[in-house]
Amino acid sequence: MELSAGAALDEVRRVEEEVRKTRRAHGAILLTMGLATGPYWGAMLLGPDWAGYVAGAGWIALVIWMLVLPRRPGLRGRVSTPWVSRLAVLGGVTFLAPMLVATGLKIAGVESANWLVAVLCLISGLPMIYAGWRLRSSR
Amino acid sequence: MNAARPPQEHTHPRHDLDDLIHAPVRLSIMAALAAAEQADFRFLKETIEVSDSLLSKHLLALEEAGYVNATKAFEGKRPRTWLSLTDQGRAAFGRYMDVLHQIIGKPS
Repeated sequence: MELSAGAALDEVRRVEEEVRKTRRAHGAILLTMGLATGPYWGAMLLGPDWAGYVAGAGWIALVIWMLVLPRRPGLRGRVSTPWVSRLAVLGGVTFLAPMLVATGLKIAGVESANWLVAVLCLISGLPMIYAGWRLRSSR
Repeated sequence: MNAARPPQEHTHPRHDLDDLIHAPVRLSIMAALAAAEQADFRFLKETIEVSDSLLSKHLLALEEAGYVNATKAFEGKRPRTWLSLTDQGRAAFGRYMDVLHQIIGKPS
C-alpha cells in the first residue's frame, strides 16, 4: 500500500496522541490517588467517626472511578514502564505505613505519637503524586 | 545518435525516506515507540489495531534492522514482551520525520 507523506504524518500524530492519552489517564489516576491518600488516612486514623465514614465512602468512589476510567474508548492499553512500577511499589509501602504504624502504636499503648501518624499521612501519597506528575508532564 | 545519459541524480526528499519505516504498520510501531519510553506488545497491538501475527512479523523486521529492542519478562506467571527503540532506531525515526517535514513543506 502506497503511503503518502501527509498520511504518514497523520498516522504519526494519531499514534503519538494515543500514547499521550493513555499516559495522561494513568497520570491522572496516580495523581488523584496520591492527593487523596493523605486526607483519607488523616480522616480514618486521626479524625472523628463521621470523617472516617466520609473518607471510606470517598475511597470507594475513587476506586470505582479508577476502574471505569481506563475502559473508556481510546484509553485501552497500558504504559507501565519500569520506573512507574518501582514507584508503585514504593507508593504501596508509603500508603500502608500510616495504618501499620497507627495500629502498632495502639497495640503498644502509645498515645502520644499522633504526630508520627500525621507525618506518615502527609507523605503517604508522595510517590503516587510524583509518578502521576511525571506521567502527565512527559511528552 | 543518442548519447548515453548519465543516471539522473535524485533530488526530491522522498528518495531519502527510509523504506523500512515508510510502511503502514512499521511506521505506527516506530511512532508509538518513539512517543513511549517502552511499550508492551499488547499496548502496541491495541494502539495500531493489528493482529498478533502481523505485529510480530513487522516487529521482527524492525528488530533485525536494529531499530527495535524486545525484552521478555515475566510478571507473576504472565510473560510480557517490552519493546523500545534502540539508539539506532530513534536516530532513524528522527531522520525519517525530518524528511517527511521536508516533503510536506515542499510544494509538489
